[in-house]
Amino acid sequence: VEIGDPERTYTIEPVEDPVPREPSRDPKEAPESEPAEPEKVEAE
Amino acid sequence: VKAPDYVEPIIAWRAWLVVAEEEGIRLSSVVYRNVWPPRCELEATCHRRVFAFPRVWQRKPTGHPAPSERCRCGIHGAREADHAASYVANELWQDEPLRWPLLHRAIGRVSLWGALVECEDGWRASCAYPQRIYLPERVESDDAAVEPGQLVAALAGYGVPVELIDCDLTDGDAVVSALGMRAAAR
Repeated sequence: VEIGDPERTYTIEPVEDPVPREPSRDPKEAPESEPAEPEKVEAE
Repeated sequence: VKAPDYVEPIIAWRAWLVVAEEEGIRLSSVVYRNVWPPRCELEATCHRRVFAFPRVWQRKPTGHPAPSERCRCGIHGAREADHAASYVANELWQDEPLRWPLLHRAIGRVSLWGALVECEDGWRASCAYPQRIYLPERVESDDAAVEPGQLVAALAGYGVPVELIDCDLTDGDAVVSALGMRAAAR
């Protein structure tokens, strides 16, 4: 877009992120692997 | 550490191409063949185009951060909708042919932040992301590969509002008028 000659320069750091990012998964809700079943052992 | 001058992004107008890239339907810049990634900001880099053997355009980095006041680099946004609308139907992309099929064209609002160069009629920024996307309902015959209604769903992956506007692309004034009617109805 042809927007003409520069007039001034500045910086913007938004307080709120302008990007609707993918929600991150909660590791507590989705464990990487199921806990192992207890092993059956012979009773003494 | 230098404190920023402002904490709210600039909201500007710009035009996009809608293309069928390998990973899906995406927005692309009109002048350069930059695809805008969904859910991630587009970051500006400065390249100059050189025509090199074997007869292809190549882009070489200039070595300075974008945007620079002394250059024309950065992600552009226009202050007024009619300024951006004049780019919706143009053929500037043909200077540097697209890698992907062109499906449609769009106009919309864009958030700009990071380092900015404010110009007479708009801004050049280091970071940008679409804030709202408008797709004209009527298309030129050569662009009518996909119905605009289907493109609305396809562009929903950007996570911002995508709306159809009742106009065609050949008349910039009609695009601006349709945008004004949409804003009044909201």
